[in-house]
Amino acid sequence: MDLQTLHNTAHLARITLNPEQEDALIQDLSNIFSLFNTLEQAALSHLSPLAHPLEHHQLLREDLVDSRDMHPSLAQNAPAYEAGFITVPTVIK
Amino acid sequence: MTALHLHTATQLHQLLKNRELTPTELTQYYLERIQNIDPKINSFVCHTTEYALAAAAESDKRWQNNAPRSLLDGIPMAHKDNFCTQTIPTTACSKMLAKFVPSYNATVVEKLAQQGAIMLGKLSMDEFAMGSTNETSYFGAVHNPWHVAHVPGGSSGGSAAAVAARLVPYATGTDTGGSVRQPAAHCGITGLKPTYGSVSRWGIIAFASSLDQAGCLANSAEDIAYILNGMAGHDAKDSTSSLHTPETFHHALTDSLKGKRIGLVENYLKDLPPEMATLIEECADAFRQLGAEIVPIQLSQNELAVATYYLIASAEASSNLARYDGVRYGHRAENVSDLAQLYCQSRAEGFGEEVKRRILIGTYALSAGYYDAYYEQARRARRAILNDYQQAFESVDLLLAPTTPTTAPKIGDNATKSKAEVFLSDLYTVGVNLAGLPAISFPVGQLAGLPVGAQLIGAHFSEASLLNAVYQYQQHTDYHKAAPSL
Repeated sequence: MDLQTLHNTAHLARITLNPEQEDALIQDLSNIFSLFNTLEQAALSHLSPLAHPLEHHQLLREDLVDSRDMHPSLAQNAPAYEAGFITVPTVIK
Repeated sequence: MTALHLHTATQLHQLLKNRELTPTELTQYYLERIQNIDPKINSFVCHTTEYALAAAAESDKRWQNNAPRSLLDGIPMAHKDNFCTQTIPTTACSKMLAKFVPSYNATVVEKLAQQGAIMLGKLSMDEFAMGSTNETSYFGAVHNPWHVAHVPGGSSGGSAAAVAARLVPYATGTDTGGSVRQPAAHCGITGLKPTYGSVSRWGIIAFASSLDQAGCLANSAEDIAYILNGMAGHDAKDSTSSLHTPETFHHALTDSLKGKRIGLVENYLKDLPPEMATLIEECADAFRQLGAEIVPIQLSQNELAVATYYLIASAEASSNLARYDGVRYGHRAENVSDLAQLYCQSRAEGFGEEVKRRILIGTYALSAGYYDAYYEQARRARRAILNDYQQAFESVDLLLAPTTPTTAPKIGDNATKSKAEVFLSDLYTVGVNLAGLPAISFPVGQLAGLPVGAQLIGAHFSEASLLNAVYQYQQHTDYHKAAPSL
């Protein structure tokens, strides 16, 4: 993990990094990925990847229209709300 | 007479049944106890006094009409703060959700309320359930009731501390990599992580969806059997919910252990401090005296478990937590000029350091060029770990192992260790989550005044068998009755 990789990863994760903490973070992540590298040595190529511990298929619920008006309860959690819409900074100038 | 708070939920039910007290009196007793004791341990992040008294008054009426809904009717409890509670703040102990008020109840919250449970408040946890000490909570560290300079474990640290301090007879928790069992062990109580999919995840704030499982913490396996009766079952709202029909768990509490084969996981014992290994071996002896056959067994693939768990959990977390962008709900940064900056700055300010670290790990592991080397390899290792357990269950009914490699560390100790070293403290718990198995941690003694826990692990949907084994053990030992003085 180097500074450029850290910046690329932070961009993908949409997190602004504090420049003062970058060196410590690189050290932390390098340390953690060296733990992960133990998996590289394991002979696992004969095994298929496991996604679900019980290997069940995802269940689908019925496709039903729900006519409840959730606006008021959802609006109360919105950081900025105006005239029935959640507002954000200007996107197109 | 024994103080009320030293009773288990099952015993409190008997007192209600004998008309020795009412749900309102019981609720008032616990509310007062929380007010007096909790400032010493900081386990609650929200008190729901009005709600609790209203629910207790309704329970009073049902008891007066001889129509309680279940054994839990009128019994106080509290929820971990990642269970959504309608009109009551649910924060996952993050600044990101500090002002979040859900518009609905999690299925578990709804089901327990229908059973007559009286919620007294919400309990602290590691932020977004990421941690094993409860030090990452936005609302401050929780203290272990046995020794307040020590951590209670995590991530359900508030739940474990509150139950151990007898501030509530039971609490809910979630276990993604040991987050019910590890704090239960550190606090000297009993905690169950059910089979993946057997208790609904709907309305629980997601961390790692293929690993997250709701569980419960109490002072006996008997209590947990009744609580699980109220929590388990298929939920159409959770697409990973199992169709398996749950048993009536307390019906299994009479089975003899004669003829049961319990595998003692020997490779877990070899790195354990000798005095902890002795307590686990004494526990095995107790099961032997109850009629079980103890068989030495190895879980050799467990050496892959920590790396596999942290890769998969972080990858899933990076995806799940992408929803927190400062737009629809959650923390929003101020003074930003465009949408991209709004996302990045809101997430930088709203998430704590541990959460950000895990999002970065997961993002990196899932990124182009690394996916096969990390994530796909971890999913193959997950198969190897599941196969290892399945092979073990061909020769034994249950597995006995330590829950943790040490007793509860001091608050602040983990800050002096490398992150990889901290992750290794989850060595004995994470394999169970990767394999989706049920496991229960229970107290087996103490070292230097701090509790030690053992765990029994079973095959998928073997909760009744696990609960019965620990119930039988607790009929012949007193470790679960010990309470800290606060």
